[in-house]
Amino acid sequence: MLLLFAVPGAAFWTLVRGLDPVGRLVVAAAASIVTVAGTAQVMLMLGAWSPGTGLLAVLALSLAVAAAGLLHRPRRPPAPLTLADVPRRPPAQGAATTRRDLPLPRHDEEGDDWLYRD
Amino acid sequence: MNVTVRAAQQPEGEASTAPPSLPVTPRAVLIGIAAALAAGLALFWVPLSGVDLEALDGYGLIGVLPVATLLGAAVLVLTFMVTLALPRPHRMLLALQIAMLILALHGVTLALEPIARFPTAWQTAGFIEYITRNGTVSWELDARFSTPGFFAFIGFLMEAAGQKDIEPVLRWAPTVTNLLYLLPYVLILRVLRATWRAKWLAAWLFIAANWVGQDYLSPQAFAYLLYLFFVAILVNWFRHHDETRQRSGKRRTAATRERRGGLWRLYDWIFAAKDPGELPAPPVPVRERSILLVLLFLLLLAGTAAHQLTPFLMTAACAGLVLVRRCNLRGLPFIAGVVYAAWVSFMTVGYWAGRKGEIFGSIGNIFQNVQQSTGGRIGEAAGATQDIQLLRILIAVTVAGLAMSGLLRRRARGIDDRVALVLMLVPFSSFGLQNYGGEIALRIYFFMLPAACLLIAYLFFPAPFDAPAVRDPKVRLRLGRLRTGTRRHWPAVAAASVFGLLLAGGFLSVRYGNERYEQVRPSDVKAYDTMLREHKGAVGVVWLSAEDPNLTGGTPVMPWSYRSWERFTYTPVIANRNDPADVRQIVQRMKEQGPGGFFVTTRSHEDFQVLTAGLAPDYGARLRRAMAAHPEIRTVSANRDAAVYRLKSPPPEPVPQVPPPGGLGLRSSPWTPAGLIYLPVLLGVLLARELRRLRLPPDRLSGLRPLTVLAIPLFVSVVAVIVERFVIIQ
Repeated sequence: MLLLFAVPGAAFWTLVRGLDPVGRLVVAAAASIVTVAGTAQVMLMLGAWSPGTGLLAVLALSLAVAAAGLLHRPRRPPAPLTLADVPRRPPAQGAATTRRDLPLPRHDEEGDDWLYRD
Repeated sequence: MNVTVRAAQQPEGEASTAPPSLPVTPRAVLIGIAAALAAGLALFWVPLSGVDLEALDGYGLIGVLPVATLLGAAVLVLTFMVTLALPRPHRMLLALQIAMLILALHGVTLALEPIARFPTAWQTAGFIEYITRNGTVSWELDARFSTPGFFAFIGFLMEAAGQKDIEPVLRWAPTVTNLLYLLPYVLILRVLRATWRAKWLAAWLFIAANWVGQDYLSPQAFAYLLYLFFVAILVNWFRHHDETRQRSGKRRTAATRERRGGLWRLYDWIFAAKDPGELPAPPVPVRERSILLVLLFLLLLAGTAAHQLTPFLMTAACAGLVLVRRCNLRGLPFIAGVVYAAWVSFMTVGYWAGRKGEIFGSIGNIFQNVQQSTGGRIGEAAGATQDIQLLRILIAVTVAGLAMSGLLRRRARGIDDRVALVLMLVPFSSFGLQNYGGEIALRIYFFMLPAACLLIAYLFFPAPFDAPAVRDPKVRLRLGRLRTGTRRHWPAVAAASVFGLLLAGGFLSVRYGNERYEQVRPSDVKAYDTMLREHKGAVGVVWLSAEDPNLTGGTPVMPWSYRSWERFTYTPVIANRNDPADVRQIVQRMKEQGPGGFFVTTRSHEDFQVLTAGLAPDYGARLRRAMAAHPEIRTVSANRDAAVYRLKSPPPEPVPQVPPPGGLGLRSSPWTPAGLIYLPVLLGVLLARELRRLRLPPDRLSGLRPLTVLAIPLFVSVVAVIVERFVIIQ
C-alpha cells in the first residue's frame, strides 16, 4: 500500500525540482493521492473496474511523469552577466554622432522586468 | 535606487560582531520534558485496560475514564506547553508530542472498544464493499453513490493491498486522517508572519479543537484533506503580485496625516497601512507553478468527485483569496464553478431528475438524506445528552470568539491577516447551501478550524517575528523577571496552558459524549451477518424508532448495510410509548416484508432512543421480552447487545427483487453530446488561460483576451446544455 503512494509520489518529486524540500514533499504527497484516487474514479466511470489494470495505470502514469521530470534537466543557471558580455556599440564618429549614440545610463531597467525574464 | 552599505563602526571594547544567538536549552531540561512525556503517556494508556464500558452513561466516555488517564492527558498538554516556553524550538520534540496527542485524543477508543466505532462509518464500508464487489455504483440506492470518488479510492486501495477486512481501516482512519491533515497545514503555517510558538501552538490546537468527528473514514474527511492541500498550494505559490509592491491600506492625505483623535484612530486602525500577515512568497520558476496549477485543477476534480459540499468551499476559498488580493489566479474560481455545475448536471442526474420541485424550494434539500443518520444530533435531547450539546456549542462559540480576538490583537499591532480572515469566513458562505439540522453548523466549525486555530495562537503569541524585547535596563518593570529575557513568554504560555487544558478536557467530553450509542459492538455487526445468512434474497429490516423518521431523517443506529447494500430495505415502526409490549405493529410490518422480514434491535440503538427521544430506560428490555414471548415470532439470535427476530412462518408473498447495479444513472438529452464536447474544450481553454496568466507580467493581462473571447461562447454553450438537460430530463 505504501508502495502504491510512493511510486507516484517519487515521480512527482522528480517533476517539481524548483520547489523547496518541504513544499516538494507535500506537493508530491498531494499528487500521489490525486493520482490514485483519480485512477479509481476513472475506472469506475468507464465501467472498467479492475485493481490490476488500476495498478498498471498508476505505474504507467508515474513513469510518464518521472520521464517528464527527468527529461527536463534543470538548465545550468546562466553565468552572471559581466561587462565583457554587453555588446558595445562602436563609438560614433564626428558629425554623425547623435543623442542616441551617447552611452546614457538607462533607468528604465529598474522596474520589475527582471522578475519576468527567463 | 542606490544603497550604500558601510560597515558599522565598532565601538571600542566590544569585540563580538556575531548576532546574539538564542540561549541553549540545558540538556537536563530536555531530558526532563522527554521523561514527563513518557510518564504522561504511561499515565494515559496503562489504566485504560481497566475501564468498564458497561458503566457508560449519557455523558459518555468522560464519565468512565480513570482519573489517572485524565491526569496523563493533562501532563501531555502541559509538557507541550513547557516545550513552547523554551527559548528555541525543538522541532523533533514538538512534532513527537503532536503525534502523541493525535494518538491519545483521536485514538483513545482503540484501546477501549473491540471494533471500530460510529455507525455512520460502517455505511462507508457498505459503499466500498458494493463498489469492489460490483465494479460499479447504483444511483438509485443512495445519494452518496452520486459522488463515489472516495469509495472508489478506498476500494481500489484495499484491493491493491490485498486487504479484505475493512474493520482495521475503519479503526485507524481518524488517527491517520488527522496526521495527514497536518501535512498541508504545515504548508499553510509556514507562509505566515508569526513566531514558531504561534505556529506550533496552532498545529496543536488544530488537533485538540477538532472534536466534530468528521474525520472517520468518510468522503467528507477525504475531501477536507484535498481542501487543505488546495488552500496550501494557493497561499504558498499563487500569491497576488500586489503584496510585493505596496503595503495594504489607504494612506492619509498630507492634509490629514497629522490629525489625531478618536475617529482618526479608528480610521487608522481600519484603513492605515498594515504589514501583510503573510511572508513574501518565495520565487518559484514558472514551470513549477504551471505544474502546481494543473495539480490544483486535479484536486478540484478529485474533490468534486468525492463529496458534494467541499468543492463549493474550495471555490469560495479561492474566490475569497482573489477578492482580498492574496491570490492571482482570478480564473480559478470560475473553473471550479464550471466543474461543480457540470458534475451536478451530468453525474448526479439520477438524483435531481425526480426532485426538481424541491430544488427550487430549497437548494439544501438536494442532498438532505446524505446526512440522515446525523439528524438526531441536535434534536430534542434531554438531560445528559443536552448538556453535551450545550458544551459543544460553548466550545464552538469560544473558539470563534477567541479567534476574532486574536485577529483584533494582531490588527492592533499593525498586521493584516487577510488569508486567515478569509479562510475563517469562507465556511459561513455554505450556510444557505444545506440546511440539515445542526449538521451544517458542525461543517462550518470544521472548515473554520485551520484559520481559527491560527488566530487563537495569535491571541497568545501575536508577535510577527521572534525578537528579544529591547528594554532599558535602568527602567524597573513590575514583574520584570517575567517580562524580559528568556522568561518573557511564560505568561503567554501559562495562559495558553489553561486554554489547552480546557480544550483537551472539552475534547474528551464532547467527542466521545455520545459513546453510549455511538459505539458499535461486535454483536451489532454479527446481527447483519445473521440476517444475510438466514435468508438468501432481499432482506426487509423492520426497526423501531421513537419518532417518525420521515420527519426527523432518522436511521437505525447500527452498522446497517455495512455489506450487501442492495439486499436491505428498511421499514421503521414508531414506538408505542405507553406500552413496550405492544408488538402488533412490528409483527404486521414483518409480514408485509414477505419471506425476508426481520426485526432487529441493538443496545446502542435502544440507548439512542432513550437518550435522545425520551423512551423509558427499560423500554428495550420489555420490548425484547414481549418479542421473545410472542407466539408467531422466532428468536434468530439474541444476546445482551443485539437481537434478531423472524416470523415462525413468514408469508411467501411478496418477494421483493434485489435491484441490479444501476450504474451512475447518466441520462442523455438532445444537446448532451454537444455538451460533452464543449465541456472539456471549455475547461481546457480556461486552464490554458490561467497557464498563460502565469507567464504574463501583471500589467499586460490584455494578452489573455484571445482566450477569453474563445471561452465566452463555449461557456454560453455549456450553460445552455446544462439548462437544457435540467428542463428536458424528467
